[in-house]
Amino acid sequence: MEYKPYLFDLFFYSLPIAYSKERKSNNVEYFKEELLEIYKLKIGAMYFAVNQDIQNIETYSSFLNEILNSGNTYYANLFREIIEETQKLITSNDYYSVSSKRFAIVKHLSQFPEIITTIDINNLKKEDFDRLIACFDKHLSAAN
Amino acid sequence: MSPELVTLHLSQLQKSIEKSKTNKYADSRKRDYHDNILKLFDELNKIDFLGFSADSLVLTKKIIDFCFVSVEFLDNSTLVNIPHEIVYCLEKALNEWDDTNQYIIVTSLHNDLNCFSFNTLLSLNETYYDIIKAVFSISFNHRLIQINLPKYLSQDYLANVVLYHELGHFVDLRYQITEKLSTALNLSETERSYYGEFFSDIFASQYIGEASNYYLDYIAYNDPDSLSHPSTNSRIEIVHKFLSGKSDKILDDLKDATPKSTGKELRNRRNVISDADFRNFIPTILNSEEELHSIFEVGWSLWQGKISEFEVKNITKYEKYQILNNLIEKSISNYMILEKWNSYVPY
Repeated sequence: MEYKPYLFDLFFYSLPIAYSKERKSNNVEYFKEELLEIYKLKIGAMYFAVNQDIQNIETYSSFLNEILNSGNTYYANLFREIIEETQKLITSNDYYSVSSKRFAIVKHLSQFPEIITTIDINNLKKEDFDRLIACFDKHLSAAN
Repeated sequence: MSPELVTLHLSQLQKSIEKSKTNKYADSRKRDYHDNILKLFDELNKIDFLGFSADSLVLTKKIIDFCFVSVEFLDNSTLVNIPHEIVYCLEKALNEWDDTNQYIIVTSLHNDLNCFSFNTLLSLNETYYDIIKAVFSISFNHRLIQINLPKYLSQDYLANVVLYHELGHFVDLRYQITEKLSTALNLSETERSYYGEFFSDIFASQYIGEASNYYLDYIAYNDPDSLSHPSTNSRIEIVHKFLSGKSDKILDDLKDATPKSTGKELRNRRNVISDADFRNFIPTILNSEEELHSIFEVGWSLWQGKISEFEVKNITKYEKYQILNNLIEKSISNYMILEKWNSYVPY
């Protein structure tokens, strides 16, 4: 690792309080060396990272089961919006026009045009939700 | 999964919620969010889990986890704990990309010195909010943007430029910029991930120039390509190209895709300012948001160079570190006060 004095000093002077006592006892150079070793070891650790917890297909599948088992209208309306978006995507093939909020699920369902394009969103029936479950089952069985 | 363990989990949550009840926030939206967590807890507390199916228990566990994470971040974002000045700068940048007032930046402080990261759970995972609304009839008006940062660097304004990169991740995922681009270009998962990192680097450099490159080149010096991150050198190079107006395939792809997804362009959003005030040990008066973001570049430029005015006074390196951080903090804080003051001046 290249020693860059100004950057290393930045780290050194932002040292945790735990080091402050020793710093007072004139062990500055010792701790600089020790810290450099710590950072050599830490190279490749998390830096500027993003922890994604992606909306997963299983959750949407459970929403469908809720609709079928207990007639949950909130989830049914949610799927109405999702199907409408998916139908638009299938027609336009313009990914940028899809709302970002549910892009993952819309993109997934767009792989099943034979099912999605035949659904009437103004007149959703139990059979439509049954057919949607098939779109998820294929994904889930592939994942397993 | 047994109902008794879900009940244990809920009791643990209760302990944490009891402690957080007295939290005070500068931002009333956090109070609103916190109140919803309390309502959700009350609803969970009414449930007898004995008759629950395994699926319902798993779902309940997830909802309890959701509450736990929310409380953790709210606890770290109270009036006393939150690093106000840096969060204020990030909020200004965020408002340029999303002016819905829906998103609140919250922070969690960790012991790891390299722990700069962004978590999507409370900001972009709509399925949680869907479940809570459908099952408990509780609607959250706001979402929390969770940013993790090292506890010992929370007031370090040189290191914290990295948080602009983390905000870039949020904007990317909020608008699915690189996801849509990746679908359109049929990129592999690794390539998509690289585009996401490049986007966040470029996003940050709109506001802070090369400042986060300096830090990246230290904590990830010479790192090669990995599954999740492109090499450090390629990240630094793409920022150079963006700032100097040069062309590059990936850069051009991102510049093309960003307005299509967000309606906003990737462009310079900073206004380079003089370092004369800092050399004279006084905070800089900032006249615009562009100047506000540029204060970090002033700090970095002075940290990396020799300051004759400091040397004359025999300022030690540690004193220099403290002085620069204090000057950045005071400059931002003065801007915050003036903004508030001006908003109340009757014209």
